[in-house]
Order: sequence, then structure tokens, then C-alpha cells
Amino acid sequence: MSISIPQAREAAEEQKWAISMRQRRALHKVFFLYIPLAFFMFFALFPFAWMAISSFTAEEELFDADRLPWMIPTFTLENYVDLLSETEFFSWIFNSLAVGLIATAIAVTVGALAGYALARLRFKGASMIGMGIIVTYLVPVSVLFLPLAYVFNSWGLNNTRLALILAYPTHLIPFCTWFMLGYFKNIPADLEESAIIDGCTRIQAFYKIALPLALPGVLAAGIFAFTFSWNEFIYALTFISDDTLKTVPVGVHGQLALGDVYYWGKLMAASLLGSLPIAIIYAFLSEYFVKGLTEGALKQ
Amino acid sequence: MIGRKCLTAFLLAIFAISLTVSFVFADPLRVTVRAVPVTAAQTYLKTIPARFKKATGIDLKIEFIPSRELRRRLITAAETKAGPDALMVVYNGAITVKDSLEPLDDVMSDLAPKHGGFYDLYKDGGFIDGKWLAAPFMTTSQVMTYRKDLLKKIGENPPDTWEDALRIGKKLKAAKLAPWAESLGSHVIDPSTTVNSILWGYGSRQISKDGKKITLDSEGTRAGLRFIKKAYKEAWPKAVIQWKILENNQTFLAGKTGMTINSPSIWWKASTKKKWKTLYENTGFTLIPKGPGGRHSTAIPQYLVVFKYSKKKKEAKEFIKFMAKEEIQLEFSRKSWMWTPTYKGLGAKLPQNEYYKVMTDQANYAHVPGWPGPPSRAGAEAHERFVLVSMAQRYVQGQQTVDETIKQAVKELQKIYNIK
Amino acid sequence: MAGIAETRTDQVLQQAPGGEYFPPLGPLARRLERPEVLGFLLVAPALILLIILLGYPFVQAIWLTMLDKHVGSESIFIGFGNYIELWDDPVYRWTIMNTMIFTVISVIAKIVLGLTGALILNQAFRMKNFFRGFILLPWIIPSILSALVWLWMYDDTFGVISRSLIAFGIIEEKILWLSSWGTALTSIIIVNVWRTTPFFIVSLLAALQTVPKDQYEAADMDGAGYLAQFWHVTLPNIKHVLIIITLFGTIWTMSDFNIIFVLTQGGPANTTHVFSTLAYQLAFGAGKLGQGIAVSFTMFPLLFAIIFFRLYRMRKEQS
Repeated sequence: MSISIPQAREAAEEQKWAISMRQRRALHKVFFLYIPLAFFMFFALFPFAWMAISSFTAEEELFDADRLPWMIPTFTLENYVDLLSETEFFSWIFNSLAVGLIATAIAVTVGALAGYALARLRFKGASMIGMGIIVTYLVPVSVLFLPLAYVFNSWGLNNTRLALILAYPTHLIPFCTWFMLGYFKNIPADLEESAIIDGCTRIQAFYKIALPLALPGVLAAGIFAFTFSWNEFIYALTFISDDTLKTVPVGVHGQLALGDVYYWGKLMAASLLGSLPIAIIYAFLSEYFVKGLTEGALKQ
Repeated sequence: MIGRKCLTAFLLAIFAISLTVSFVFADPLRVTVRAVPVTAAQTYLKTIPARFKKATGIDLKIEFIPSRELRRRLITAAETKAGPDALMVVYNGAITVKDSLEPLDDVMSDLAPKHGGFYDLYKDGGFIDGKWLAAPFMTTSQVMTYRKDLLKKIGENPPDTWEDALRIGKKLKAAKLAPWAESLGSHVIDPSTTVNSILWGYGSRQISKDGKKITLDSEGTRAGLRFIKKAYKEAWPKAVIQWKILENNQTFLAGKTGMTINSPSIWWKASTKKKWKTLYENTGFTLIPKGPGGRHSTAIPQYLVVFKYSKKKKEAKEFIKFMAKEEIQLEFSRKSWMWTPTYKGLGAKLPQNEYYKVMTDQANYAHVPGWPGPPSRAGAEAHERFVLVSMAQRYVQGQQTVDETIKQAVKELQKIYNIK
Repeated sequence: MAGIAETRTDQVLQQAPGGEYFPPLGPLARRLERPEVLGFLLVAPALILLIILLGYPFVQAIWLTMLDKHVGSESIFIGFGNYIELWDDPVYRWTIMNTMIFTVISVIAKIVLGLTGALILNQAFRMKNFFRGFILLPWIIPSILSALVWLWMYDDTFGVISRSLIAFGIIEEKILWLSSWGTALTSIIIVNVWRTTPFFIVSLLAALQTVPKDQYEAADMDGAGYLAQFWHVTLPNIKHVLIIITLFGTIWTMSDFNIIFVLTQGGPANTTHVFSTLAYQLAFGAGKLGQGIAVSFTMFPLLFAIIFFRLYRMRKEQS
């Protein structure tokens, strides 16, 4: 088979065009994906890089302003060793985990129940209650911590982890309720309806049908609530005074930033180690977090 | 998808954790003091409960918090009537919560006559409405810390007056050596020392001695402010405007500051690493300079207060007496690098070197912010809300003229003191 | 969403035992079936917890703001005296403006960066989940710790930002990040944006993934360019998510405390206060508890107005 000259030219033309198309795609990728992505990753992560570098640098070298930054003159683990041996860091991590997990469990349970009721059950005052719960999310922590301190004091809960376990849900329940309300609304109701027609009770319908369907939402709300608890500072600062009962933010801020001497190396080490547990949780569960956000709550 | 089993396991784990959370307390005397960055002093502080128990038979638990947390703890404890039995306060903290504090006159009548009496400084923050509400604990003097080697290089002696300091500062800057630098950011300790010491030295007073008249609008204030601006322009690094409390320590260690007012925590820090050995050996101390209006400065007096709500007032007072003992005061002074005795007479019993001499002498010239007015909540509030520091900041940065900035500060003080 | 949900309901149906026998309900259980009873029972735990631990302290807080309350002392009822006195305080008035500027700039920056980041991550490329996980890190670390890290990075002698810029020859003089109102506020906003943008990115990314592909194809057929596609297809589809996270972003930004507390303490010259830091200074510095809480309190009606307006509009659009 022979190819006529115009046809060949056309094919060559096409070839050329195809290459340039590929090039254009590559260029497009560089400009619209790689460069902006690099920018975002840099902006998000360079404090962490600096944290890591500082945490492996000896203290006297941190205070050397003339050397080039971004280098570790002599690699040392002394900051980590000191942090773990001289402070109550393990207690702080334990406290943060314990308080965060329990508060999250309370908030998610309570929030899922309330969210389900508000999404599915028509009862008098439901919309008012729903609105009321959500509005409480607007009450700033800085308004509440002092009156709450009176309350906990009268219950003898001062300087206990229980105070934090009770205080955190006040901020978490409104969010979890709102989140779960949205999630349940987006699950078709007919399944539960038909189960109820079959003789199943409402509560059975809730935990046998609606709850398993809403599991990504529960997890997303839980992750969110736990992040808040892990980050919380003002309540923990106000209610806790014992060193062994402090949470990570309060402990680190209180013991490593002293007077006019801040232990930067140890501080950086503590910041890295202090974000590690929750980073691991995210690594495993971020899929659910996004799924929870996508499928339910954010749609409304 | 994570199944129900996982969820159950998760909840069980939470339950297990919550069981371990419960905690049982014994009920000792609880005292909260500041944590000392200096390791030896901190170690010594930790031995105090055992010593105290041996001397008096009382169980004691000491909690350490950073110094900046003392005030927050004081206020929450006073307001919620829960917290430690005794607490360390600094500056004018006791005034703020005066109605919640147990009078300590009985202890003080025991303690005050000993060892040549307490420094006058303590009256500024502890003797309130005719009663002792806060008992002296230790003093942290802030002194002029300088580099001997650099001063030798430019052929100067340590400064005696503010003008000397400025001359040295200019020379250091001209010689491109580590400059003179004083903190001027927004913080209640170092910047407040800078501004108060200079203003007082130039004869400025924020309030009259009887506390009835705002006297800030004076020639002394103008002269003091002009000096600060001149020093900022001609000697200090531009960055001091954002220096709060850390920065002069850190830059001194880095060899970037040649002279600064600080408590000797820098010196201690320099002693901890081999790399800073020459720095350590070349650090000298001298009194905070004097001005035309005399030598004045702030120091950081530290007190112990006992709360009215405490069920262990007697034990707390025992603790105060215990801490005022000669050997404890001297031991702390030797170990802490920043604390000196509260008694005038004890200075002579410390090692006779430049450091202790300057540290104990400085306390003679020191006052609490709000001086010379009688201790008042308004004085504490003006200090906490940075009235004087902000006044200096506005003028130094050229946002306001000297008259405007004084006018605004006077207005703020009038409002705070509730004086027209 | 529909597809995923359907597959899952199938699984559930299979799991649910087919012809299970349900016994007739007893009187108590029958009562439980009534929506007003069950609904109330399910809402009750949330309500009880919130009333005891939030409602009661909240009312007490309102009461405190009406008192001339000095710590540990007898207090006098002064009605709105605290608010009047605050309004008279130039620092407070400046703080209102400052909080507004801080919130508006910060939230806008987060929306813009969040949307850009989400659009970038929405493209198909390798290791996407890895990047998505990493970009969340700033949001995970306790903000008091990250603020300390930023303080260390902003330091004028040892700060890595100025030193790197000087090392690369981009600037000659060190930037004094926290020295004046403008630079200090910028520094605070940078940290705040750094911290919360990841949440915006991930939420918006989740929203972008729900945009139906066929709408893009249809727009492509019509010859719509990128911008037109974004405007007519993407934006309407993610509008709800955008509004909701903007609301949350506003709440979080306005009540932020940690970053400013660590970086500036309201300085220089009390110009970078927001409500929460001024409240802290008044309550814990000066010991004026009533007035301190009154400052935090003024944030509430502001937030309430914004949120209420938004919810009202949303409801109107839905009906």
C-alpha cells in the first residue's frame, strides 16, 4: 500500500501537532499542578522542617546567628533525650489522649443521637432546639472559662482531668450535632421507614440501619472533635495546675518556655512529638474524614 | 469500611482509659512557686518539702509554674477560692486580689526585725492598707549586664549614669561591636524595667506620693522620653521595639548584644555550655545607671501570699517563716543566680564578689511599678496594660510627638486611677 | 453520593436478617415510638449537658458583665456600666476595628488559598492522598505550639525567615515582623492563614469531588473556557460548602487567642489586640473580671448577626 504525498504530509502534521499537544499538556501540568503544589506544600511544611532542624541542633548552635540557617552543624538527640527524661512529657501525651478520646466519645455519641432525632423525627420544638444547639457553638471559650471554673470548683473538680472531659464537649456537641444532622438528612429515609413497617422499632432502625450508614460521618465528626480537644488551650490552662495532669499544649508551654529562657530545641522536639499521635490518626482516617465531609454534612 | 466491631473495640478502649483516669489525692500543704530555669536552684527547691517536713513535721507539696503564669493562677485561685494554700506573687500582684488574702502581720512582726530588716522595695507591693498581705520571699534584681572585653576595647568603664550608657552605646555602635540594647516591646517585665528606670531616673513620676494626683505630665517625663528616643536612634538596634523578654538574653548569648539590663539568667545560661565560656568570663555587672533625678530601677520582688480560703493557714505561715531562714535564703542565693536575700543584712554573708555586691546593692534602689504612689490596684492595672511602655513605643516610633504621647498616657492613667 | 449510598444500603439489607420476627411492642416501647417522646429523649443528653455546662455558665457570664467585679472582692451591680466604660476606652474601640480587619483579611485569604489549593489537588496525579495528608499537618498541631514555632521563626536575630531571605539576597535588612501594627498584624494573619487553610482545602476538595462530571462535559461541549467552567459549573456546586466553611472560619478566626497571645500579647502599644486577648489582659492582668468577660461577650452578638443573617438567607433560598 502506498501513501500519497498529501496524506503523508497530513500525518506528519498530525504527529507534530500531537507532540505539541503532549508538550502543552506537560506545560499545563507544570504551571497548574507542580508549581502551585510545590508552593502549597512549601508554605504548609516549612515550619515543620524548621522545627525538625531546630530540634536536632544543640542549644548553643541555635543561638549562633551568623551561621547559615537550614543546617545542622552537629546532629544531636539531646533535646529529645532531655525532653523525655526531664519533663512529664509522657504524662502530658497520656492526658491529652485520655481527655481528647473520652470527650470526643461523649460528644459524638450525644451529637449523633441528637442529630438523628432532629433529622428524622418530627416533634414539637425540634427546629427551635436544633437552632439553639447550633447557636451555642458561637459562644466563645473566653466567655465561659471563668464561670465554668466556678461550676467545677463547686463540684470539687478543680485540677482534675474530669473537668476537661466535661468542659470540652460544650464546644464539641454543637458541632457534632450539626454535622450528624446534615449527615443523616442525606441518607435516604425509606430504608428505615420500610424496616419500621416491617415491625422494627425506631431505635433499632437507628442503630441497625442509620448508624452503620452514617459511620463515615461519625468518624469525621470524631476526628474533628478530637483535633479540637488536642488543640485546646484556655480550659486546660485554667482548670489544671498539677504538672502531671496537664495536656500537651499547656505542659509544653508551661515547662519549656520559662521566664526569659525558652528551651527552643526541646520546644521544637515537643512540638513535633506532640503532633505525631494525631498525625498518625489522620494518616489512617483522613479517607473517612473526607468521605464524611463529602457525603453528608457539607451538603445540607 | 470499619465495622461495628471496630467501633465497639474503640468504645471499650475509651472506657478502659477512663477507668485509669481516676486519681486519689493526699492532702498536704500546697504551695505554688515559679519554676526557676536554673537547674541547681530547681533541684534545691525540690528538696525543700523534705527539709520542711524535717523541721516542722508538715507535709508539703510544691508546684512549679512559669513566672508569667503566677498572675493568672493568683486571680483564678482568688476568684474561685480553690488552688494552692500559698502562692508566690511578683511585683504588685497581691494588691489585685487584696480582699482574698490572709493578713500576715503576725509572721511579719517575727521576721521583719531580723538581719537589718527587709528591703524597702517590699513595702511597695506587700504592705497594703496598713497590713502585710504578702511576705517577702526572694528578690530578683535586674542589673546592667555588660561585656567586659567590649568595654575595654572602646576604652570605657561600666556606665554610672544614663548619659554614660548612651556614650558607650554610641561607641559600641560606631565600632561595629555588639551594641547596647534594651527591651522595648510589650511585656510586663523587661520593657517595663527599661522605661520605668529611665523615666524615674529623669525625675518622672506617674502619680503623686499620696496617690491623689497624676503627675506624669512633667519635664522629667519629657526628658526621659527624649532620652529613650535618642538611645533608640543612636545606640540601640531597631529591633528592640519588638523585644519582649527573651530577646536580650538570646542575643547576649549569641554575642550580638554588648550591654543590657537583665537579671543574671543570661550569665547562668552562659555557664552551662563550653562554647560560651569566654562570654561567661567576660560578663560584668553594674548598677542600673542613674539620671539627673537619682538612681531608680525596678526589681522583681517575689512574695508569698496565703489565701483566706486556705484550710492550712497556720502551716502556710510556718512555711513563710521557714523560707525566711538565713540558711535557706543564702543557699537559694548561691544556687539560683537570680535570687538574692530579702534582708538587707544578709548580703554581707554571701561570697564577696562583684556579682553578689551588685545584685544585693541594686535592691536598695528598686521600686515596684506604680511607685511612688501607695500600692493600688490601679497601679497594677497601669503596669499590666503597658501604659508607660506604650507611651514610649508611640514616641520612639514617631507616631506621636512627646506631648501627644504623654497626653494620651495621662488620659489612660486618669481613667485607670479614676482621678480627674 | 447516590451511588455510594446505594451500594452500602444493599450491604446493609443483606446483613439485616431477612424475615426476622419482630415481637409486638409493649406499652413502654410503644410510647417510645412516638416521635415527640423519642425525639425528646434522643435530644435530651445534648440538651442537658449544654444547659448545665454551657447555658448556666453563660447566664452567669452575662450576670458578671453587669457587675463591677474586681477579683476576689465584693461586687456592685452597675448594669451596662462595663460596656459604657469599654466604649470609652480607645484601646477597646481599636480592638473592634482590629478584630474586624484581622477576621476579614484572614478569612478571605483562607477562601482564596483554600479554593486554589483544592482545585490543584483535585487534578489527577500520583500520590494525591499522600499530599492531602501532609497538607493537613498545620491544622493538626496544637496552635499554641505552632505559634511558638512561628515566634522563633519571626525572631529578629535567629529567625529563619529573615535570615533565609538575606542569605538568598532578596532583602538587605532584617524584617522586624512584630515591630509595628501593620507588620505585626500581617505576621499574625500569616500564621492564622497557615493554620486553617488546610481545613479549607480539604473541605473544598471534598466538595469538588461531588461536582457531577457530565456538567463539565456539557460545558466543554459549549466551548466554555476554564474560567467560565469554574464560574458556571464549579462554583454553584460547591457554594454551600463554601458558605458553611466560611461561617466556621469566621467563628474560629474571630475567637482566636493562642496565636496573638504568643506572638505579640497585643503589642506594640496595644494595637494588635483582638477581643480574646484584650479580655485576657483585662481579666488576668488588671483583675477586672466583669469587664474582661464583657469584652469577650461583645464578640457574641457580632458573630450571631453574621451567622443568623447567613442561615436566614440559606433557608430562604431553600424554600
